[in-house]
Formats: sequence, C-alpha cells, structure tokens
Amino acid sequence: MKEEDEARLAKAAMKSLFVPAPESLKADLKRMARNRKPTPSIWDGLREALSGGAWAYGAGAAFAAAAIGVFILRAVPEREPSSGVASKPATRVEAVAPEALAGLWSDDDGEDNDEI
Amino acid sequence: MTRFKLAVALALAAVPLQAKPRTPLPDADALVLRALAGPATGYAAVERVQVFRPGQKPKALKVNIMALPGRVRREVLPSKKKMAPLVSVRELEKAEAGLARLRTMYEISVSTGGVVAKRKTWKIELRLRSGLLRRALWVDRDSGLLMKRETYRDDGSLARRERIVKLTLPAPVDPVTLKPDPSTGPWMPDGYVFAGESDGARRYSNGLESYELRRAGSKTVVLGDLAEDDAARVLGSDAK
Repeated sequence: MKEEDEARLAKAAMKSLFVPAPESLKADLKRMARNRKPTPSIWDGLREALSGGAWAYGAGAAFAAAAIGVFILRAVPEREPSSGVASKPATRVEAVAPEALAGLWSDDDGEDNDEI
Repeated sequence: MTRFKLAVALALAAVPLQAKPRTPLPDADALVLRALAGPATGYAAVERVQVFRPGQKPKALKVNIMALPGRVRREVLPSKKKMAPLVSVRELEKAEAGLARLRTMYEISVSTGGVVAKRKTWKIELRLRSGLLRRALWVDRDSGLLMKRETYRDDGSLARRERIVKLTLPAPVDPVTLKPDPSTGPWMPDGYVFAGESDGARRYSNGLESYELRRAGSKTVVLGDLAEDDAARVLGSDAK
C-alpha cells in the first residue's frame, strides 16, 4: 500500500513539473526553417557580380581591351621604319663585359698531359 | 765470322723485314675536308683551351662539347661556381668553303701526329706563304674529328692550344639540346662574344683575347688577336 502511494505521488510530481510547449513554438520553428536560405556559393556571387548590369559589361570589356593592348605592346618588338628596301631582320645583340668573361679563365701550368 | 756472329747479324737484318708497313699519309685536302666536316656520328667531349701570353702565366678553361653531324654545342664551364656557363650551339660551315679559305692563305702539309686522347692522329700544318707556321691541327685517323689545335705567333711561340682531353665517340646526343642560336651579326671564333661598340668599331672578346671590326674608308678591317683564317671568316660573314 505504501509503495502504491509513493508511486502515485511521484507521478503527480512529474505531472506538476511538465510544462506544455506553447502552441506557437512549432509554427515559429517551421517559419524559421522556411525563411532560412542556403549560403550563396563563391561562383554564384561571381556570376552575380559579372551579370550586374550593362555598366559591368562595359567596364569588363574596357579592362580586357587594355590588358590585351599592354600585352601586345610588350610582346612585339619595335619595328624600324620601313625604307622601302628589303633589309636583314633586325637583331639585337647584348654586349658582354670582357671582365665578366675573364672569370671563365683560371691559372694553368701550360702542360698538355692532362687527358682524362 | 763465327756462327754466333752470323746468327746475330741475320736476326738484326730480319727486324726491319718484320716491321709493319707504314700507313700511307692521306691527301692533305681530303684530310682537311674530313676535319672540317666532323665525325659522321654524335659525340661528347671535354676540351681544354689554354692561352699563352708573353710574360704572363698561362690561362685555361674547360669546355663540354656535344655534337651531332653538322652541329656542335659548346658549354664553357666557369672557374667560379657563381658564374653561369657560356653556351653556344652552332652549325658547321660547309667543309668546301672552309678548305677554299685555308687554301688561299696557307700551305697545307700532313704528317703523322701521335696519340691524342688515346686516339691515333694525323697532323696538319698550316704555313703562311712566308713559311711561318701559323696553326697545327691533329685529326683523328678514324673519325676525322679535330682532336687538337695549336696556334702560333709570328715569332713562332705558342699562343693558344685547344685539345680534347676526354672523348666518347659515338655518343647518344639529344637533338633538342642542339637547337642553333639565332644569327646575330658576323661570325665569331669559339668562345668570343660581342663586347661593345665605340668610335665606329665593334669589339669582340673571350675575356683574355680580343679583336675589333673597324670601318676604314669603304672597307672593314679586323684588328686584334686572330689568325688570318679566322679574320678572313669574320670579314666574309660581315660582308654578307
């Protein structure tokens, strides 16, 4: 008898501790999940930036044209003004200081018996 | 004459009969043509270049050579590790043109040349019309490779020696490493580079020796440390 009373009392205590969730919580959670958008990827951001509008196309085209122009100016050597006469292709020879070449040489005994 | 003396006399007389007949000397022009054309196979070699200047210590440098028929790659190895090697790749001149040039200024003679880098050679002497010995070339009897070359001054003293000290022939050589340098101005002897231009003269140097190309009226002349055949080749290539 005593044991049954104790169990009843414990049940009653548990019931008194339980607080039912508000009705709106479930709806709030559903609303939050619906509103949460996936994180945009880098590529999406880039695509969005590139397709920003007409002004972006213009700026991009101008930048590309400038880059190509700089590349061509650097890559193609300057041409000499044409004299109307066929001439040899221009060749540019860099001079080397003889002092730099002197480092190639070392003292020698002058013999010719050092075959390997 | 005792029997013993007779036997000794017969034995001594038999020695020359047992000797091998000498290889006949090749024709000078044919040998020069072979030397200028180079071996018919690829080869790898180490060459030592020595320069002798009056009153000064001899100087030397080492060159690694790789070659295929008609094309030679030379890599001058610096004595200091910090320096980069000096690399040049050249196509050989037509042998007939080279022989014609040598013939215009030298008397050419051939003799036996001894052994260079363990190979039997023929020796070619190039003498000016005055009889002065200007160059001596040692050519491999088998392959025709120029094994050694000495250049002499007007007083007969040795000015320069180029000699192969190690040779692998035939050797596998990658043709990719033998892409010739673009042609830049007149021909230069091996080891020389353009060192600058001043007062209308173009100077070329190998670090020890030098020469210059100078306009004299309507002509161009070569002044400096070059043998006659090299100077003629420089002038010929500059006129083209």
